[in-house]
Amino acid sequence: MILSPAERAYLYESLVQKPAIRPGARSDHQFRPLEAKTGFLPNSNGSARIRLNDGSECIISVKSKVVVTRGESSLIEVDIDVPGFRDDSNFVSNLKFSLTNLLITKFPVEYLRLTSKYSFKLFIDCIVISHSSYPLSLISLTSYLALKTTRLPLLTSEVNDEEIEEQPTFSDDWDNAKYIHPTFQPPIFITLGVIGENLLFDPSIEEEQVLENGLILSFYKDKVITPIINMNLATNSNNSNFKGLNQKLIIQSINLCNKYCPAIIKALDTLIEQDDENDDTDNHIF
Amino acid sequence: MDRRRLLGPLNTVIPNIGISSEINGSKSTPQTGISSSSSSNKNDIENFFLKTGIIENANGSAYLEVGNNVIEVSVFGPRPIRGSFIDRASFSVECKFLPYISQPGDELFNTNNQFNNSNSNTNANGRTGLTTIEHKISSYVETALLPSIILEKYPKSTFDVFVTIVATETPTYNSNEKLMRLTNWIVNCASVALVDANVEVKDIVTSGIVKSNKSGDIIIDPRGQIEDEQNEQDEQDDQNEENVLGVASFMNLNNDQLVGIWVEGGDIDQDLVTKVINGCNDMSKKIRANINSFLIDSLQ
Amino acid sequence: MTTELKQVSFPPEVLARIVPEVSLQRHLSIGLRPNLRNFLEFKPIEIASHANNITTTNDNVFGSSIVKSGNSTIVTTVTLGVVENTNSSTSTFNNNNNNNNNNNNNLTNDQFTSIYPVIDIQRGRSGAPSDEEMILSQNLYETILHSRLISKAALKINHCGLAIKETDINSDKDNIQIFYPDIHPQVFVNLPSSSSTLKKSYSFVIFCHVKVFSKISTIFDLCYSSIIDALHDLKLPRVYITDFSSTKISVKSRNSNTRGLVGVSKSSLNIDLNNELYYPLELSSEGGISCNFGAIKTVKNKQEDEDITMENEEVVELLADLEGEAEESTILSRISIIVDGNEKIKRLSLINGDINSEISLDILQRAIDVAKLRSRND
Repeated sequence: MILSPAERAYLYESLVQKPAIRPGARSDHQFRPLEAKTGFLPNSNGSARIRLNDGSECIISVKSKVVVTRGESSLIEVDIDVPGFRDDSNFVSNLKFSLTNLLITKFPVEYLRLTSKYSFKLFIDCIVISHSSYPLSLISLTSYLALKTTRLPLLTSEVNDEEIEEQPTFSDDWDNAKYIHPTFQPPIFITLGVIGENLLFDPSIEEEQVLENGLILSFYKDKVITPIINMNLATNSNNSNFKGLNQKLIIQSINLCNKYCPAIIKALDTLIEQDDENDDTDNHIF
Repeated sequence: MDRRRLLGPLNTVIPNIGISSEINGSKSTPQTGISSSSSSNKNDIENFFLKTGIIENANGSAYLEVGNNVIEVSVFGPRPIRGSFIDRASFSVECKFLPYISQPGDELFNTNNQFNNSNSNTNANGRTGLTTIEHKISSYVETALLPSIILEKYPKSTFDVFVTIVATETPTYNSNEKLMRLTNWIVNCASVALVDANVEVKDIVTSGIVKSNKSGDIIIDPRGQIEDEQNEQDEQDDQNEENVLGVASFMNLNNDQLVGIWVEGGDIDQDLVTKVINGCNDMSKKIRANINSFLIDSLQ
Repeated sequence: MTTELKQVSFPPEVLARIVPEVSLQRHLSIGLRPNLRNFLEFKPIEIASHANNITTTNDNVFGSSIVKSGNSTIVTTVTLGVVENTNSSTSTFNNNNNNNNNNNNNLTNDQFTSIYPVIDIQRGRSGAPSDEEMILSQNLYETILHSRLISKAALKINHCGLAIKETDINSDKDNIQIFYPDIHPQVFVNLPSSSSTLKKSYSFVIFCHVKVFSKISTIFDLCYSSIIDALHDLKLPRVYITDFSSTKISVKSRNSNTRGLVGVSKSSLNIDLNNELYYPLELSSEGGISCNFGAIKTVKNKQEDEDITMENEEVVELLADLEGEAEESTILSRISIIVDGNEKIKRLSLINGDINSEISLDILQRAIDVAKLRSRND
């Protein structure tokens, strides 16, 4: 139990106000401040880390492998590791299902195509070093940064290998490596808390304890996409406020995400740019 | 090595399920997937068979057959908990496929499990935990049913719902549709099982599934074949422009409170989501009417 | 001062929960069991052979059975594994097979094999199998092994096929053809890897998954009949080997000169889904019927017409097919018998768990007689 009954009641009352009074004076649609770093793992094609001010931290590494396209059921494989949870626990499995499902269905796999026969396969490994609130949006934002900065070696052999049996060969100069696609913006997840008539972006752990429901929306190419699901975000507690939600709130949440999420994507892109500029001077992450 | 189960000699391999050597090369499995759907109207809901109280050693149970899906739900509880005091009951759902059933989306989602049915050399009978797909269904059902149960009435106790999937559709459907259809019916079946267990609930949760086609129309209770008949000629476009699939669960209480939503598939906008929710609500109401009359009948 | 304690009386169903032994004795003294059956009456069993479509709707299931008794339902499914035979064992059972085809008596125990059952009882708990499930699985394994039901020869894969892939360049589709040494002898001999295929020999391994719903009494008998039924239903498929030439792709790496390999396909065993080639498993003997009995000492009220006094006589009674909490917790002397259609006893287990209700030779004889009678009726 994180909050006492009195604290719960107080927090609940402040959050159902119109507009909601959130701890830390955040507005409804404001994310918690985060600190990010990309491209710090020398052995990975792409890597990213996000730290939140409450100590949550997630590191993602993206590695690639050349595969025969026809032999693979999917070109993306996701693995998530959360300390304190077994890999086959419901918590980890659901995070994995969500992220795998989003990337498999929405990731433009044509970007990974090398030749008519071969493709890159991406292995996305996530480690949630610590987390307090439900970590899906944290993982998803980190995966955005990692995928966005993933660089794949430059193919030097022919693209067309239908006629001749040719194996892909790559340039051995890492400076020639290319990003997955110059304008590519990976899909992300947004967590929304439902309380009264309010929708709160990126609820913190204390807020999760009193929420009436939770929504997870996905966002890609400047609009809300599927999957859209609802869930009890306070996984470890016995949330007594949890109840059904008004259908109108779903529509409202889509509108809100369409309105505010482009700013989040923009902020993440800016982070990457800044990180690139600092790259030469400061190459350590701690 | 598993010492608690008899899983055969160590060097046993599980052969792949290959192809048929029949001359015409077509699969010999009879197409039992086509049930009542071919004759039924577009917006009809498939007939289902429901029975309660079949499991004697559970507090409540329900059995549901729809199409080729066979679902059994047992409710155990209220059971006392060990450990510290809690003022309201805890509630859990565990959903399991019988080991020989190939799970929808198996090859995509169950990749890291050591007991992956599709191409591993392990006996599926030795599977211990749940697969990613089973976890996904479990948590949807748990989320949808949680708001309906009056947990305050049962301090220091726990409710455990065990779902067994005895049979599923033949794999003529796309895997997402199969998975969501199954989830939809599990919610309906589990609500009835909760009632059978005499658990105090605010309302019965019922659920509906819809699919949108390219023109944005909603098909209630899609059964795969309907869409195939319509879009047979432009099947290839279909792959790119995916249909939107939605499952939503409702309580009648408080203006059709939405307790569970899961939307997958292609492009969406506000209008389409509204249509999806309304379509699911229509279907859930029809199922609710059925279940209500079933429950009233069973009292008499 | 002493306060007088009021006598408390319980309704029968409460009594059955708190003192099952008293409740059971009271029932038996009026010649009735708590489940309202006669002492030697069995609970009816329904076997839905071939009435289920598990086998037809699941490609990986080759035999199945659903058995019901009251509300207890047992779903048994048979899946297959393949094991490579070591050379020595192959030759021995080939010889034996030729010499005494129809004479099982000359075969030794190691010519027989068993199934690998996993029992899963729905009991509202998740996690590792319970003791009961493990003991039951082991018991079934051993029973089937020693009843000499499945000979190793019957599980041997005699004609292992070979699949040849032809890639159609125009459509980019693989055309796979399967050849068997007995069906296509001409083609098969000319295949490049036919000799290596013929050299190796394989056998099936039978896995059984037994799901038990609504377990209320001992279920060994039900599981046994369910497995036997599933084995009768079992049809073994053909197996073929894919031995496609492996593709090696070298990937240059800056740091080392070793070449990585990508997409190497190994030869693998596959099941041919052509159900015209399926063949039923040959069972070496009949499965038989499994019965269980319990013995309990009861006090009989003998009422004689002329005499007004009641004479109490203690008798050890034999009860068939135990059911319910009262019987299961109170009756500790048990007999389990499997008898086949020829009245041959395949298995007999006797536990004298209760010193007061010892199983005498006479009782054992009665139990065997009943079991034989039952196997005949069925």
